[in-house]
Amino acid sequence: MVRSLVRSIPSLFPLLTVAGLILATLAVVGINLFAGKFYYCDIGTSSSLNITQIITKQVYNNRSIVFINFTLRIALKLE
Amino acid sequence: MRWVNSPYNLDDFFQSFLVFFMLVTGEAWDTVFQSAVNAVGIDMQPQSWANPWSSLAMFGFALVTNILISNLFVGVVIDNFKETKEEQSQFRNLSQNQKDWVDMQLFMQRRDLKVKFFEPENRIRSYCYRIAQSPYFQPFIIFVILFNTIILGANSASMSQQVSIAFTILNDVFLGFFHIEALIKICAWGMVYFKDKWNRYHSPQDLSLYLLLI
Repeated sequence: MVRSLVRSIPSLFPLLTVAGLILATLAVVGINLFAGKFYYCDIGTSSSLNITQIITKQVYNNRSIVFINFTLRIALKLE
Repeated sequence: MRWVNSPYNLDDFFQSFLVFFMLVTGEAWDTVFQSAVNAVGIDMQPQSWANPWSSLAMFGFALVTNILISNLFVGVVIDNFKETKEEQSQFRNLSQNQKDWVDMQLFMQRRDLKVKFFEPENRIRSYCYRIAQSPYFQPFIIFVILFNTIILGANSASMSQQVSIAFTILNDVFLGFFHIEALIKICAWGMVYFKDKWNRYHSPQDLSLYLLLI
């Protein structure tokens, strides 16, 4: 068993190359689909939060509606 | 309150490669999924479930990376285990000549027959044939492919508008090159073109370039 593991090490190198090539292709596709789209407005901790802050965040980047995380949304509902 | 980037972004090649390596291990895949599904656009605040179709792309990525690649490694190890076991059980009783014979048979099983091309009689086709068979043709095409790969990899979110436009134009030029190459080869070889493995694997790259054109 151990012998077969040791023996399989040299045949793993071409496999690494193939895996790297597949990953590189996917990486290029990923760039073309999602580059620059993962930025978000970091609101910070919920303890230092009030409703005016949320409203200013809502107009962040000139977008009327923003996605607010779960706790913040509950806080907004409670106000 | 800051405008921050996700740590698992796909902005440039190395970052993207890292994220896909993470997907291979299955680490934090849900974060990447969420970012992709919530993504609205460049310089836009993500919105919950704004882009449901990107989940399909992410599932495709996960299928290829996490399931296919990681299983490939396991498969190779198991294959080697089987081979070692077979050698220990069967090959012990064979003489050296018999072993050589078995090796030769296995070697011949693995070999493919190479397609040989003949010069066509038509004047235009024979001209194409001479281009396709020239020793500079294939290296040139490989050079174009490598250059195209570099251009595709150099794509990133932080590049300027001009560079982006230049890359788009370059991609169109590359696509034109590959079409001309395919045309020349089809003219030169006829339907044998589609029997060559190189050409069969070459067309997916053309397809991916079509996707970029959209």
